[in-house]
Amino acid sequence: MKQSLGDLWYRRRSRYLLVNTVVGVSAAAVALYFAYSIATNFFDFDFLFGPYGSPDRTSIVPFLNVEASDPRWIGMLKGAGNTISVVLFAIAASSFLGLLVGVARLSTNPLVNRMGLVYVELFRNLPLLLIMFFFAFAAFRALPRIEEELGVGGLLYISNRGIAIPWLQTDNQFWWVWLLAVVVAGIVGWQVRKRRDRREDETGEVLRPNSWGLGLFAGIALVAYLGLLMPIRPDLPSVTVSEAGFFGYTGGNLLGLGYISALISLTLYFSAFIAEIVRGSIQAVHHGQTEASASLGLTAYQRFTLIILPQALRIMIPALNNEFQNANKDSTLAHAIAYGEIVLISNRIVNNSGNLLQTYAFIFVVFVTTNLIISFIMNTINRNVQIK
Amino acid sequence: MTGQIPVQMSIARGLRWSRENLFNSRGNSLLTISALLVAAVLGFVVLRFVLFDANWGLVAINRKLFFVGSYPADEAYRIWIVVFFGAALASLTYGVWVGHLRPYLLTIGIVAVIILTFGLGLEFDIQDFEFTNTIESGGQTTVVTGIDRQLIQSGGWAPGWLYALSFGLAVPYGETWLLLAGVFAVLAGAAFVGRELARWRESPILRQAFGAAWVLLIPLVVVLQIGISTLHWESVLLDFLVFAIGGIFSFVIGLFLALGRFSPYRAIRIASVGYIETVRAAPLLVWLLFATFLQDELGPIGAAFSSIDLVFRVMFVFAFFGGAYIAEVVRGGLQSIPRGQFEAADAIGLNATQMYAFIILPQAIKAVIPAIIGRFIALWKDTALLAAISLVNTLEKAKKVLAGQSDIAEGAFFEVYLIVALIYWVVSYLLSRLGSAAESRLGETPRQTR
Repeated sequence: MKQSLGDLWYRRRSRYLLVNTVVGVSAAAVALYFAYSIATNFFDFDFLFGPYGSPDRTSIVPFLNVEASDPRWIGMLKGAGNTISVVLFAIAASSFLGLLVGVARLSTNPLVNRMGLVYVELFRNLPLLLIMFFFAFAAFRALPRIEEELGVGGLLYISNRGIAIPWLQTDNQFWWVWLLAVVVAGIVGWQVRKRRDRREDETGEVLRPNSWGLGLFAGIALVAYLGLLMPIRPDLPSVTVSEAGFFGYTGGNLLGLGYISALISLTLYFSAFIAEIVRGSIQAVHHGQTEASASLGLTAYQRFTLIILPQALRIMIPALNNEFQNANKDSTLAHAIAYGEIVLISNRIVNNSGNLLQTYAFIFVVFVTTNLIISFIMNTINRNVQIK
Repeated sequence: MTGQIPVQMSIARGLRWSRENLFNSRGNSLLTISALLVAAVLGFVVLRFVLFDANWGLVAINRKLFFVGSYPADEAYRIWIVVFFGAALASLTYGVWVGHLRPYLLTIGIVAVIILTFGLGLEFDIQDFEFTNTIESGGQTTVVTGIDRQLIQSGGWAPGWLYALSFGLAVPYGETWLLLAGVFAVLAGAAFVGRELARWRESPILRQAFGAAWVLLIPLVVVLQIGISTLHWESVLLDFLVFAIGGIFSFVIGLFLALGRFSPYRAIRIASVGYIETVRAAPLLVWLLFATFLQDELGPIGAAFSSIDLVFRVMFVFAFFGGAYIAEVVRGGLQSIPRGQFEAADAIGLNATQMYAFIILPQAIKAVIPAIIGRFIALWKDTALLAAISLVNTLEKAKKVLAGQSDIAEGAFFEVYLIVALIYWVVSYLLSRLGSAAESRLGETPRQTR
């Protein structure tokens, strides 16, 4: 039997083969083209060992400040560290603020409710970059100069250079032993709490799991702290004048304009989105749950923390996962306000050495990795809050 | 006496309402009082700044820069055409779709009176401070016109900011006032025409036609820019162009990518998923910077791409980046279509193209219109990122205005950034209102039985 081209098209198997081959081959051709042109430029990593060139001291921890003599690859790693150090705190702060505003949006008090609405509508509809510019180029510039020593009694100073906060100082080399002891204390406390909690559930004895856990944790940490001759102590900032007459902060840690503006902006912007997620998830919990727990005689606080919130968390976490990844990616905007995060460092390297592909491939890898980590953590939490 | 009774009643009702809602328990009373305190302090600080402390002079004088940047003054009619066409279309659509004219006309009237009266006052203010100098050098005389810097330095000037927001497009100023009055007249008149059209012929096709007419606005804007160098595409105009073109193309790209994810052919599925996930893995800013820096690293195709004007490269990135996100939204819509719809389409003998074009996609897109509008809001806000790649959008213009006039308007940072924030905010807020209107309207339509 003679086969025409039409038959090939109208027979399912041959058509699948045809389309798959044509699309597959052309997609592979495109991929190969890019792979080839990338490969001709990509495998040259000598530039990574050249000096970074100019210092970028905008980090919150001294060892993440990029120095001029650092090799470029160290600079890129430090840039990634700076990204993480702003994203971490931004996620924590915006979750807290978002929870607060989201609950305020559900308040029966119309005034509190409206204020939550205004907050959400204000920050949700503004570009993040604009909020960053506002803080970095307007709000902090309007603050008094360092000479005026505006602050809270030696604890905190705020000026147009940023915010100086208390920091930690190590007095002897055993500080890491103490940190280890704190971690151990945490594990011990948590395990004891869990065990007593379970026994209390089973037998009905009053075993005070929370007090026991917390007490053990604090006790072990304190004993280790004294035993190691107080290895870490708080370091308070103060305003000092150098011999040449220049003002500056000594002690503590100065959170520079770039960092603090990025942190505040990310927090305000993403807390508005998180508030909406929180509100939506709590509203999605069936109203019968509130009524049932009220009829059991639980107080409003118990109703919220024991009945509503655990159920709302199940709905909330996938959406939060998405929002945290967005916060991670949008932290790149901070390079426009001169915070030394990964894009800023990379761009400087590209300007100096011209190795665009390698540098941007690194940025890509960093974001894929950090987003996978966020995703992994959120999925783990999600598994733990689901009904088992 | 008769006039007092309702007042007393409403006060009594208000008291009862506040006792029931604001002071019904000790905790709630405390909450109310502290919230009132916070609101009062914030409101006082903001209002005092906006009305008394702020110096809006810098904003008002540079209002043209904030909207059209360095657009040639002789060509301003092109933008006015777009504004008039957009106003007419908006009003017609409102008339056809909604038709409740009284609140609409009232709002327009109030806004028009505020803007036009304050605006006119401002014009006279500015004219008082205008000066003309004749400079003679080398036998040539040049006439320089400008605005006395005292105007900016004197401060005060609260109403000026309202006018600064009101499309201060053309120079000289007198014409702007007339043209703006024209815009308001069109806004009011077209709503009547729209309502009468809807009464004259009540058909869904008419309504849909007006929805579709909005798509025409974009080519109009683009065609009108032919002959204007991209160097003059600045400020709100640039943001709007990138948003509009990026938005339209990202919708088309997203549609095809979503269909690709649903394709029966494995190769197409893999290619679509691969594309979507790769694009979504990195931030938009990184793609924009990559498109800015790229020279010949990606072979001849990369070189050809890098030779395109930066503005068009940015539009390209917006379209392809937005497309990956819209694809995910449309995929959600496609997944919400019950299997029965596919089977029914098969049963009446439609082929795949007809099935998707007439049965599946109309339902799928309708289901996710609010989410698509949400993506467009994100796209609009993302146009602010152009400031990070040396294109002069509204945000970058603010920075430039501040930098260029730092000697005469030192410390006007708040004023300028507040105005720019208002410009971005108003557009995304209106879009989000549109989104929730679509959501509630779609919620009312009877769902398909499954």
